[in-house]
Amino acid sequence: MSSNHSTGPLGDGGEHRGLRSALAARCRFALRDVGSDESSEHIAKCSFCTARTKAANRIAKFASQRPEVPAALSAASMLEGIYDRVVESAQQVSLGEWLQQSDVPVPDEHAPEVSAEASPWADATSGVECATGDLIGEFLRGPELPDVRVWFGVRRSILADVAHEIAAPAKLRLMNWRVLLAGAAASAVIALLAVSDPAPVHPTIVFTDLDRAPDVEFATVRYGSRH
Amino acid sequence: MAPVLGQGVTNAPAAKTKAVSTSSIPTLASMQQAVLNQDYTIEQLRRFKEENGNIVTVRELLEVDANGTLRPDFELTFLEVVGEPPGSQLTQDWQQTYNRYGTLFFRQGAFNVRDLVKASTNYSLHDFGIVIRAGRLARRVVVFPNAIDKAIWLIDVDSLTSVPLFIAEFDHSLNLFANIEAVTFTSTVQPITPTLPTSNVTAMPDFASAQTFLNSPAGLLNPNVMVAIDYTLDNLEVHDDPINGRKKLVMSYTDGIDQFMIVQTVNTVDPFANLPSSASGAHTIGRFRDPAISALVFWDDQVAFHVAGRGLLKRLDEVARRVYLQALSQ
Repeated sequence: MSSNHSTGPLGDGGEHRGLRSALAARCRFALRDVGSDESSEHIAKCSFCTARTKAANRIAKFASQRPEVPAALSAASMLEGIYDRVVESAQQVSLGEWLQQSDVPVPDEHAPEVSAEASPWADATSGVECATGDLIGEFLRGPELPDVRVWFGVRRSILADVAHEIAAPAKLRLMNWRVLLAGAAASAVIALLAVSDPAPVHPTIVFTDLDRAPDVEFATVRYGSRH
Repeated sequence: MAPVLGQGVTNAPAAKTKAVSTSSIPTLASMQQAVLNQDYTIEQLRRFKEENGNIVTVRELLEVDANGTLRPDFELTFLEVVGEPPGSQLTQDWQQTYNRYGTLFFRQGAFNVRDLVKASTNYSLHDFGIVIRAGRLARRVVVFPNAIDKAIWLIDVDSLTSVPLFIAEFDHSLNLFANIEAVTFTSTVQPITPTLPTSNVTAMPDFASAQTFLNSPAGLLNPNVMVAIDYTLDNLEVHDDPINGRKKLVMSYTDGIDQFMIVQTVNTVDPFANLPSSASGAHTIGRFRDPAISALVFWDDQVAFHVAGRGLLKRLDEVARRVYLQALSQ
């Protein structure tokens, strides 16, 4: 069963934002803890969980069998090639930055080559138990893809958002028309009121500065004879 | 030299009341009391600051015959322009000016307590001690306005009669604008017998009477000057201009000491008719202002309006604007 979640640099299994589980919560809980009474009760009632449980039981027989690892995969050059590809790909993502900043010692590239028998990968290889060689190759070569059902959920979500955005301008346009109509009606009412009750128009008065005092009595009082 | 005669509203025989002598500090009330009761004859120098800044000193003889009112009978006689030979053109110009405007020189060209209550509200008097003026004992006082847009007065008041012997008018920057200085003073007066007709000035009790007197011309109005809230109507006269024969209604407003005038001259043409602003429909107020005078002129319906007062009184702009609006709304 492929994982629905992508792992972060710390392997915390954090979910991508926006992904929704195709499984209902009760089904998830039940399938995780198959042996418990509560789960058994749910599985008995849920046809989906019943089918999943039956399929898991069929696959479990094959998953428990560990085929022999091909000799080619045990070769040191093969393993080192895998190692190099993993390192290169990891260097370009945040995992590489994490490794550079961490206290994990970087293997010495100039150290004498260790024989395949003494290679630490030998133990690791023997520990990897995969159902088929194709599964291992697929894991190493192909990018990790989310489950199809998850993508269906994401697609539905995006389409719903897009549909909402398309509808919002239409609503906004409709609202704008309503506002304009209301404003026009108000203007018409105000204009009618204005016509029926005309407001007084104040005349414009302009001050013009004179360069000489006009011939007024007070000017004579102040200046005296004006010749 | 032909004297200028002024008579009070009552035209009653002069009341020859002797003023009670006092050496106490003069007050606004005592100075107003002197106007009501004190006869005197004074030869004085009146200094004018012309438009070009030159100072002209005119010697004049003032005879005041108190009549118990705030508008005593008086006679103002032009004697000479100091430094000018008799008969010169300048002397003749000044003689004609005194013939035509001598009444205004006495009524509005000097310090007068026109309304004691308003003067006490709008001004304060401060004593600065004893001085000698025209050979007489006097006390120097300064009358400060409560508003910055009015004149400051320095007055040497005769200790005996409370008649001003020296008057100087300053603005708030202490620039001198007017000055009258007594040369000789006597507390008596010869009986004043009018020899020149005074029919060119007719006092009116109220606006309605003036309107009737002028045959109710269409554009004449009773101005609303509420914007100058500390001023009230002090005097209302109809003048017959001896030069061009035009009649004008002269209304004087006072805050107790200061004055501004609104003059309405009937049967005139619009002096601003050819201005570009008039062509665009705007109404023009011509304005002249310098430190000595604020004068605003406008026209409506065959009546020319003049609003004039001292240069500091910038609120006359708003007075003129409101009166113009009042005229346009009629």
